[in-house]
Amino acid sequence: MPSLIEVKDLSVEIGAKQAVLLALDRISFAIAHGEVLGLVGESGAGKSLTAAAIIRMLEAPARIAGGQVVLNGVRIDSISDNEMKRVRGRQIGTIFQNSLDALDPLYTVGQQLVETIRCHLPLSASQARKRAMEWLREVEFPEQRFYAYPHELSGGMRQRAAIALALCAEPYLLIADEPTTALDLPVQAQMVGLLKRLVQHKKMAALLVTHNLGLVALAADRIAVMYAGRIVEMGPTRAVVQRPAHPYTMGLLESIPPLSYRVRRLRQIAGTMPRLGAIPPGCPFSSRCNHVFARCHRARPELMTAQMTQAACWLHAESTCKPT
Amino acid sequence: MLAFAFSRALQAIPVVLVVGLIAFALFAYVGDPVLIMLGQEHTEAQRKLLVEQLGLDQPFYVQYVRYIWAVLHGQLGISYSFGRPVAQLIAGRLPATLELASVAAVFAVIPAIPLGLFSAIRPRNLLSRGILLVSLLGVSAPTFMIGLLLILGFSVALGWFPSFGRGQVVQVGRWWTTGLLTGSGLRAIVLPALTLGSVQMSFIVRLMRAEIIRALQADYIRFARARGLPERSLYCVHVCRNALLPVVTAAGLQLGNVLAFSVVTETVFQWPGLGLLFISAVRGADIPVMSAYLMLAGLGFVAINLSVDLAYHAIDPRLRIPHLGASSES
Repeated sequence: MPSLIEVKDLSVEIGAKQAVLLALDRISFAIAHGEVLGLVGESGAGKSLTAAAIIRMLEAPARIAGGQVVLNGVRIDSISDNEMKRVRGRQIGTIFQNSLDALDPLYTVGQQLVETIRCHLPLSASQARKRAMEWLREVEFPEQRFYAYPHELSGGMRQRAAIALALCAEPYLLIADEPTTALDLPVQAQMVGLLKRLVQHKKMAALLVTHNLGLVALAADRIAVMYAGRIVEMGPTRAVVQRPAHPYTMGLLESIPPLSYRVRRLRQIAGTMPRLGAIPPGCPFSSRCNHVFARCHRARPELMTAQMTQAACWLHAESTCKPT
Repeated sequence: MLAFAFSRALQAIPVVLVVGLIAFALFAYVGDPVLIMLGQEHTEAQRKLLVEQLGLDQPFYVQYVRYIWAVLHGQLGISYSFGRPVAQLIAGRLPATLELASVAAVFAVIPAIPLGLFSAIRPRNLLSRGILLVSLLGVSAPTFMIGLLLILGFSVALGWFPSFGRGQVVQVGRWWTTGLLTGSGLRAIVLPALTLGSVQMSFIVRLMRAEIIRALQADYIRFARARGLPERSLYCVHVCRNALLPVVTAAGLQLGNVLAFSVVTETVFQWPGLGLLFISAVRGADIPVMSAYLMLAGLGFVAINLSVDLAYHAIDPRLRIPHLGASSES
């Protein structure tokens, strides 16, 4: 299936002339219609930055330094700001972190939906209202709360309203940046299920950004693992979760607390993610890796085929003298 | 809503009573009205008689209770220095002060909101920096100085506007006189209104700017951008309304300050309003006029606070009492 969105070598820089830091280093991925790509990693790995770069809503000192973003065959990284405004909401729907505050507290859910719909589609007020109602049904939001203000709604309801707002102009791509962080666990699972259903039903593509591996395993078709501004492993969800190839992915999976009765000491990844200015040359993970060897310090590994996934790790290079 | 307004109006009663009590406790120190009324030449018997007539030999709380009792019977008393009923004096002066305060408030609010918005959206623009600088001067310079500078510039040097007085006034209805219908009256109100409004305007510009900047960083504005809302509706519909909440409160309370500062402005411009009346009452230790003015000011503040609260309810749905049944979470 042809991919709906293709991100090629996307790089983002932060800072002014003197001190420029590379915050995203040649990120590449593609998502097909009806597919959910999970983007996971620690805080600061560059997940949210990737999402913001795609919709070109980077905060001031950060800017796109290179690469392409192709949506439906059109490059959206080089179109004008005005054209980009028509892409946002209409072609790409976005849900941000902290979606509990995503709604303007002074307007009802219905007003905000109608406003968004009418801004993108040539509909009359009553048609827009009808469509807003349809979307509320779609996200399982009780229709009689159409006239409710955000503060009158529970967290889960606000999240549903935010999803409806992001999708009401029927975009092709949904970017959900930590969509469930502020919700409690059962609601998180509901929400992810809802997102997945909507994506498949509407034949959209979705980029699900989260640090919650359990959530991603539930919803994503494929997973991309980010570390220090790079994608270090990418592959089908099952393969990444069950047979991870990159030592960082293994570490991430081992640090999920098990629900078993006897709590053993959790395995942790030693150290912390390097600051942007202090990423080691060669493999960025080399400073924390258990399997590190000479080549890791010398050269940076690109994504290469490793078992069932693609991993940026020299352990999987064909002609490597691996350490014993 | 009606019940809310009513309960607020009831709260005005203790406020006014306490203001009056404090005022009466202080009146013992404002000077000797008897001395001023009788002049230097008088006998001890005359003095004693007058003191007894006015009830000044009683402790202040007795005077106060008597005063309240009289007010409840519609008697505001007779001014010591003018010899006319206080109610008449105040009714004669009220239109001048209200006109000045309203024109000043219009001067202050109408330009301040767009200026604040502009300086928040284009922080690097030269005009924005100018707005900020001038507003800083406006906030920090004392009112009387602004008044004197305006007189120096526009009446003494340029001669565009008169430096004192209210110009020609016309009688409207039985109770109201207005200067807003005559040319000289309109010219006369410009400088005092600018003086009186300058502090409030600078204040609102700065507050508006700060609130817009804060609103722009809110999550719902980021989300509204991501939804593709056009810039114009983003600012007009979402940013401004959210930023206006604190501005309405502050501007309302500032309106109270406008009334208070009108004492200064009216003195500088010899504006025949309540402030000027109050100043001359203080000089003459005219207790009935002072007490009436202070109670009226108390009422004014309560009324302003009430309208601020009502405006707040109109803007912010979070303050409205939810309809029964609509608030249950599902």
